[in-house]
Amino acid sequence: MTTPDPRQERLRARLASYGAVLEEAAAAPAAKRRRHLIAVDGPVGGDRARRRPPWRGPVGRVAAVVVVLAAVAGTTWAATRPTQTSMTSAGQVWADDDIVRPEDRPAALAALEGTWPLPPNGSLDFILDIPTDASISFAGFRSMVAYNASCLWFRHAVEERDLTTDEREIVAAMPTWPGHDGSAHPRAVRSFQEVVDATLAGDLDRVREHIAISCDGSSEGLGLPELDGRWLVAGGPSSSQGASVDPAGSATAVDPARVRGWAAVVDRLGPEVQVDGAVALPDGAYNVSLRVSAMAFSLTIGAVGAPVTLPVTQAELDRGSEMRDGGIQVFAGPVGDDATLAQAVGPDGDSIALSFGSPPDEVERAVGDLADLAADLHAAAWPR
Amino acid sequence: MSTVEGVTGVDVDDLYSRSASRMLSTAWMLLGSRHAAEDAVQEAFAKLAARDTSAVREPEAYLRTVVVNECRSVMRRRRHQAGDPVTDGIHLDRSDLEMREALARLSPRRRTVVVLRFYEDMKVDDIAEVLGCRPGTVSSLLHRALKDLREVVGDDDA
Repeated sequence: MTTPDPRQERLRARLASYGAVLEEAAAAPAAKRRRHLIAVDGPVGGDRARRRPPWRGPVGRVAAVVVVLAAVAGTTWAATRPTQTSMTSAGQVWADDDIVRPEDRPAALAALEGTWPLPPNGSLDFILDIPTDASISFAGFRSMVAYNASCLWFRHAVEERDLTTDEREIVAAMPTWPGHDGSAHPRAVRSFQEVVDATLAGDLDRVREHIAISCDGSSEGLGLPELDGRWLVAGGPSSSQGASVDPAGSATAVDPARVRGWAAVVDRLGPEVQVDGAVALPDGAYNVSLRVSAMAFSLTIGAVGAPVTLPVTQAELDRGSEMRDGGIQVFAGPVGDDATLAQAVGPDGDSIALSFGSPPDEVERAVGDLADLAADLHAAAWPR
Repeated sequence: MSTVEGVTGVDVDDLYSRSASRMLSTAWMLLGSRHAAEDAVQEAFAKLAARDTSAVREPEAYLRTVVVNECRSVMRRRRHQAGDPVTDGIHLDRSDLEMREALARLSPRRRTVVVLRFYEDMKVDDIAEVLGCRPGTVSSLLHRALKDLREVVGDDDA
């Protein structure tokens, strides 16, 4: 019989004390919220009609930045721009360069909703569910609405097969919506126009492909900006299909593990991720520098034997070595005085390496964190 | 009949009555925010109600797994964002404040294993089951977490 560790018993007691305070505070509000928790006779989860959001999650946030940049780059949209639309809260007018903070989104959406053509039963409410702490311009927000609305129309076209005359006119006008009007990214616009043409021509396979690559790819968190304007997409977390899509819309098959790896990276690093630079390595792998908040990560994803680009010895890595679930071996260790490297190697030899600069006094803590992160990334990229 | 059940199986209404406060406090510890904890628990119950739970023999344990996974999902999404715990308008004495700060400084995975081991009183094997990893990984995380905690709350209590 083992004797309990007194230090751990004291920790247990302190957590129990802290937890009791939280539990007591939580009890009353929990009872109030309960009424709204579960619908007895209906869809679970709420009071709002939901369609699958075609743009949500971390990828949506990254894509939102792309759209915002496109809008800032000169997109105008005079034809259907809401004019003198007032904010619901303060009666102010939204201008293109007005900043829409997260808390302003309901008002901004309300200002646009009445002016935006949507398919029957279509709703843009899910835009409010996109988790973000970022503020964007009203022009950027409007572009986000346009993108999501176009996905709703493509889905409607596939579901209904025969569009009415009015609906065909709306679909035909979509390339003039913000973000699709040609001023920012002509090649992307050409691709979007092709999808619209396919919709009007009844080529639903092409439309389904667009939905899978663009709309679903975003909603599943697996459509990701890659290098040179390309996007990595996959149909879902368990999909065996992956594709790399160029700005013109041409897709080539890629290992789905690569897509999942990217998805995990963006998911973990959050909305502040920015691509600082990228270098194509001789064996086809990429060395991509990502800047995340105050920390700079360097990420390498490659095939077997992914190159390690920092001068680290195996002995240094071995000190932080441990086996993780699924046969994943994680190496992590300090590199010199100001950097840390973690590398996760899967059972099939594939690997993901992460490195970032860190002050010497934080290296030990960073090693542990990075080992956790690398293991998670690898497990996501190469699931059991 | 007022009872609300999942698709089949667990009596969700009854489970809510018995477990919501406890699940909220656990989620609160993990997420550091009452609001985020309430959202996570609500989402967990919603998922539970939508699932076929006819094969579930221990509803509380099953619910706890769903809640913890929901919290982990939230923590993954907000990793690297500022992690200061929210006051949430509750009164905490010095000891509880210290514990709250100590938990907030742990990495999400280490915080999770500490809360499950020492607050939920789960066994290492069960934690490994919840987290989908090996027991050895849990032990390793616990070891590191306790080391981190000692730096904050002192050597006597961790």
